[in-house]
Amino acid sequence: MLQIESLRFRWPRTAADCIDIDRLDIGPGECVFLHGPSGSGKSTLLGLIAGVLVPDSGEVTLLGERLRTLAPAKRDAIRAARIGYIFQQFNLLPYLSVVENVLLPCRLSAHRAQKARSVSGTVRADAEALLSGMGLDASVWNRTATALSVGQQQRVAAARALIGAPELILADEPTSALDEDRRNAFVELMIGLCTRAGSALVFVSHDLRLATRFDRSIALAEVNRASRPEPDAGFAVHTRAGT
Amino acid sequence: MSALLSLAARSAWNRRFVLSLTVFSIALSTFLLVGIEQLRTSARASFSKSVSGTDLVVGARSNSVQLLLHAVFRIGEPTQGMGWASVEKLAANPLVAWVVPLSLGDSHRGFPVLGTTSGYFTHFRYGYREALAFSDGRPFDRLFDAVLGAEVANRLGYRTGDRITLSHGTGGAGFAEHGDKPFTVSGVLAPTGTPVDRSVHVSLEAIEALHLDWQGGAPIPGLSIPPEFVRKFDLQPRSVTALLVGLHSRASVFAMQRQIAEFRPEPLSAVLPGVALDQLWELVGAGESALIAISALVSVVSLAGLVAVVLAGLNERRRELAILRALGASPHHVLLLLAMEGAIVTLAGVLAGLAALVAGLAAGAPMLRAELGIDLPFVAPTTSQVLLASAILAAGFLASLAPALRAYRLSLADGLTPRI
Ligand SMILES: Nc1ncnc2c1ncn2[C@@H]1O[C@H](COP(=O)(O)OP(=O)(O)OP(=O)(O)O)[C@@H](O)[C@H]1O
Ligand SMILES: [Mg+2]
Repeated sequence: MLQIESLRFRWPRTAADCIDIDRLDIGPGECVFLHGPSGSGKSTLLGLIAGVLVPDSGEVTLLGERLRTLAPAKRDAIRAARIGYIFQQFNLLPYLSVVENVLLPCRLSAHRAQKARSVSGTVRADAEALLSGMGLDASVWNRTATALSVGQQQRVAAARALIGAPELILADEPTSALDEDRRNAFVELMIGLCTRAGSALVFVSHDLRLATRFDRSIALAEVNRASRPEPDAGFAVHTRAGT
Repeated sequence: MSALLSLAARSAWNRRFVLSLTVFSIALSTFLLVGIEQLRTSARASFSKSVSGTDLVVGARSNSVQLLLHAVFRIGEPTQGMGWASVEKLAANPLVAWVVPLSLGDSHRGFPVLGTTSGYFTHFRYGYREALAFSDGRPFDRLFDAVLGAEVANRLGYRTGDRITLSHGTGGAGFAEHGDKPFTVSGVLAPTGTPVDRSVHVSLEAIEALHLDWQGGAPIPGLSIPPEFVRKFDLQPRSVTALLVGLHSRASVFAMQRQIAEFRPEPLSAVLPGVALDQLWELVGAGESALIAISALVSVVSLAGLVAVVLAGLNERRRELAILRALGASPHHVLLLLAMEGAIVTLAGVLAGLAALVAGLAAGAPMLRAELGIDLPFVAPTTSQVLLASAILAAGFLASLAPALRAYRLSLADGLTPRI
């Protein structure tokens, strides 16, 4: 479903590549755990997969579409229709209610709206079913998004990523603001709902204890040649001088 | 597109307290620009329609604008009078069809009193050559009859048959009264939307009779001539303020004007009302331009405020923009979102300004009419007003492209990881 080949990416005005991946494949419905030290390029890789960032060379192929060669508008349309994205924190638009936040993908993509309707009849019914599935009962559906606790907000974000059953869910450290119990419950729910919807999941986290619950675990440092640890001369000199 | 528009509206509403200040300043500048335009056109229209069908306004030699303002609009200091002999001479001129003498100087409760002849009611024209009509009663007939303009009757609650007294001078109440010689209202004129509405019309002889026992603006001590005796005196006026002249043929207007300018017995001026009005507009034009320039500057400042407010808020919204990007919005959508926000804010400001203007006009129109004689008709906006309002809208939209472009570049640089 997702193929990455000879992918290279360097941020503008930086000296070295941030991403240099020879090959990485993810199958349909596969739940993948992606981990690596801070700054190793996890978020950057998700941006490349989502088509928000454009590689300098190489190819990201999503559902047979080679993202790099597509027109930008087409890339954005593919993201709207095929990808659900969850941030680490602050996922929700503060001026919309919980349900309206979940419905956003259906407003921006007719394809997602169509799929949601085919599941539950109406997009709103589908949003409510997903919110219930994430353990959020009707009392919070019409509240403004910012009135929710961080854990609740992350579950709303998951419901939004899942609505209209996109083929791929990208989650960038969605649990790092949650305590351990909630973290485990959240991961369980995510994997369960992704499996039910048939969506593949790329789940980024520092917390290696979560890895066992996934089909596969990838250490980015191992596949990304650009993030192999290199000695940081400046830091070493500084500490030596300090002690 | 419509999804984006509603998001822009919701997002703007969420920041309504900051944005409302901007809306307020845009409303203020709309109010000023469109309002000044309204005053300008209304003043011109109301002045232009005040006199028509009169070929020349004649008075003692003076500035033509001054003469017109005083004779037709009762504004400004009374000019020196012209002698009655000159009036008779001009009336006898073969080019002249009719003359209507005007004598100003007294007032009734702030409304000017106009001494004239009954020819005034047949020859005077306003608007598109419309004649004066009576809504009640008839022209003055007896010596102490008065004909009221529509607004005088309306405001003071007078009807035909009521008795009124006039005051000496135009200073309003508290002045010397002509209390010994009351007038009877013989008729009330239909509304015209011109200074006629605010005038009390009496005969020239009545003006003369009022001042028989007066000298130099005060009653002569010890002398009082009761109304029943005034008929025994010669009531022919010695001078009048101005003379409205109608010609047999418009073509002879310049010839007649020249004749009057060379008039031997006393120095006179004859002005063409249209020409004098044009001179008046030239005079006030500079002031108008200054007012319009100032309100245009106010608009620029308020739009700069809009840009500043949106730009300042942008950093806090990088998260919001990243969310939209993740949901499939393109950088162009982000640009559009911000531009639409600017457009919405500007539109709200312009609409608020127009609403305030309509309310202000409704509230202020009676006062303007009473104080300045300017009619503010409640009509459809003029082309220039529509243009002004659209210009503010367009400028607001263009101005908000600045923060929109910055948001576009930010969202390209940020990708999905906004640096805050
Ligand atoms: N917008 C950007 N502009 C320039 N450089 C960037 C940008 N975003 C990330 N980088 C750089 O790219 C590298 C990888 O960053 P990235 O955010 O992908 O790391 P990460 O693995 O997600 O780290 P973390 O676990 O802290 O989220 C870092 O060196 C970072 O400085
Ligand atoms: Mg990251």
